[in-house]
Amino acid sequence: MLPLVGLIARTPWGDAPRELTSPAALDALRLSLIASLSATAIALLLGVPLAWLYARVEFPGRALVRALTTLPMVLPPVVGGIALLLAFGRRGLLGGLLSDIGMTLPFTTAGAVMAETFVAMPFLVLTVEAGLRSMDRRYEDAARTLGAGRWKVFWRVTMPLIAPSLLAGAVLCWARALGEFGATITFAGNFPGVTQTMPLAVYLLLESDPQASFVLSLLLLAISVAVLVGLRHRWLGTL
Amino acid sequence: MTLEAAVRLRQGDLELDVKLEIKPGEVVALLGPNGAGKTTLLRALAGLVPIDSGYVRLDGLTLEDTSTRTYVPTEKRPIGFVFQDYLLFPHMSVLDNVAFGLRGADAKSHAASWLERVGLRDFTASRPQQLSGGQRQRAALARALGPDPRLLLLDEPMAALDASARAEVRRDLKRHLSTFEGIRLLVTHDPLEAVALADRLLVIEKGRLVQEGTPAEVAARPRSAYVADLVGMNLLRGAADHGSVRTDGGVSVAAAGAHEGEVFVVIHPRAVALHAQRPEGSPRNVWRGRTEAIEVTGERARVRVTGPVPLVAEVTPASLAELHLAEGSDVWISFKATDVSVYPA
Repeated sequence: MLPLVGLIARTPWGDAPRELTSPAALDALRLSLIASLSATAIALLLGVPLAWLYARVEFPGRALVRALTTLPMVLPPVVGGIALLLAFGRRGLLGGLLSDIGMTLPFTTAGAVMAETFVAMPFLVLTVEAGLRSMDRRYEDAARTLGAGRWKVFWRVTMPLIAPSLLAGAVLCWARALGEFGATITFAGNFPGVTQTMPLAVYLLLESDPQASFVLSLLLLAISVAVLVGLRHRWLGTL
Repeated sequence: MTLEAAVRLRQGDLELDVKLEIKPGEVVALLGPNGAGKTTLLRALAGLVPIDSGYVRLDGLTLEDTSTRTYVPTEKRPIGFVFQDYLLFPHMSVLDNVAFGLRGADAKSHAASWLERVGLRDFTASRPQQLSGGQRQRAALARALGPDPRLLLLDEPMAALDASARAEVRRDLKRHLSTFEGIRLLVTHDPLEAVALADRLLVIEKGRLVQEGTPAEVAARPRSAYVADLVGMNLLRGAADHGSVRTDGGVSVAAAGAHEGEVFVVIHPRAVALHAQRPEGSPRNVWRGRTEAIEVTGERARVRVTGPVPLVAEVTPASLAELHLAEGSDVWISFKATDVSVYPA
């Protein structure tokens, strides 16, 4: 609690509006929103099928693959960043292939998105997988007896029934992506307007303009609290 | 329209091995205790659980045959399924639930006319959660019948209802079932429901078909303790030897018309008399016992007595008082050889 109190006490409330609307802060804010929302979209696109695979299909090595998917949750983000560099960097495993088709990921916005996706997607996969496992699968049976093929069952029955898990997973993933620091700075660097997201800006401003850094920190804190309040029913029941 | 199926499968502790044939237009009830495999059999016919060996043929069309590796997936089978708790999709309106199985531009209007048929016209826009149990059942029935299936499977259609609503809902269900021309197969563990709704009963126990026939036939000649208990009869099994039957427990029961071989012996509880002293006269079967449990319902009292064989006697509450019977009293039990019915096992 004490660090939070400290943050709130030291925030220059009077200067807050001006600090938040400074070009540097706005740039970081805009970039953060774009990168974190893109990361969430990609995580949904890749993570939902993955969660479905883990929850519904038995295949050899499932436990291992599943563990690997969730590894970024426990991996130090900076290690994740280095791993991404080694895979997709200019001299990485796939870097040559990527540059041949004219794509560079490190130190670009796309790289920041990738780093955030890497770190945040496991939250979505685990939440959606839990939703798929806990839903009453007999609704899917009922849909099949009504002539619905796999695709129709998935879109018209499974997805709507797990909507709360889907939403919670996406919000958690987004919040994690928004706060991502270590993997982003390692893989994408710290270029204002290109890869300098809010957490990176906060870190940098701490040296040059501590007041601004406090204000941005408070904004991130407010978002975290909002997520917590929004999802409280999932964790605390009906309090 | 005929359904012919042989289903053998193993699922957990259950070993299901049932062969059945249902003729056009029949309403058949699958009756059996919990865990007998009724629901699993229904799900196997729908293609929702794989069968280890056997076949399912509907109207000459092979839906599944393990010998030729034929398997028509559930969504391509001409079936309708009413699930135990109806499983109406909670995120759709009642109309959309019924329209879910229908194709084409007129799916909604077709669904609406089905809802009208089952008396739910005013609930098309409602969510399933807003309906009563009986209304949900009718919505589920409309949803299952909408796509015009040839086989309708109903899994414990009354189980999710309050006891107070059952009689009325059962009447409705019977009426709606009678308008459907295909094969109707319903699962139940309630004999009353089976008798009320079905032309023929199939009794399954522990994954095997133990008896089939019209409700009257099954009630008159139970072939298992479960059925005997359901219809309230005393059932014994033993070897017949010209005028008497030696039960599996070694007790000799005098029975008119008992010939030879393995037989079932049925004694109606009303034919079992209880006495304070050893009875005089004609009854050939007389023995001592002890009352174990007494159950009074209205004008009748059912007395469970232990003795050489356990029996249930049905007496009037008046004679109960006259005999000073309480649980644990010693009594004499008698029944006539002519009140015993014997048939081959």
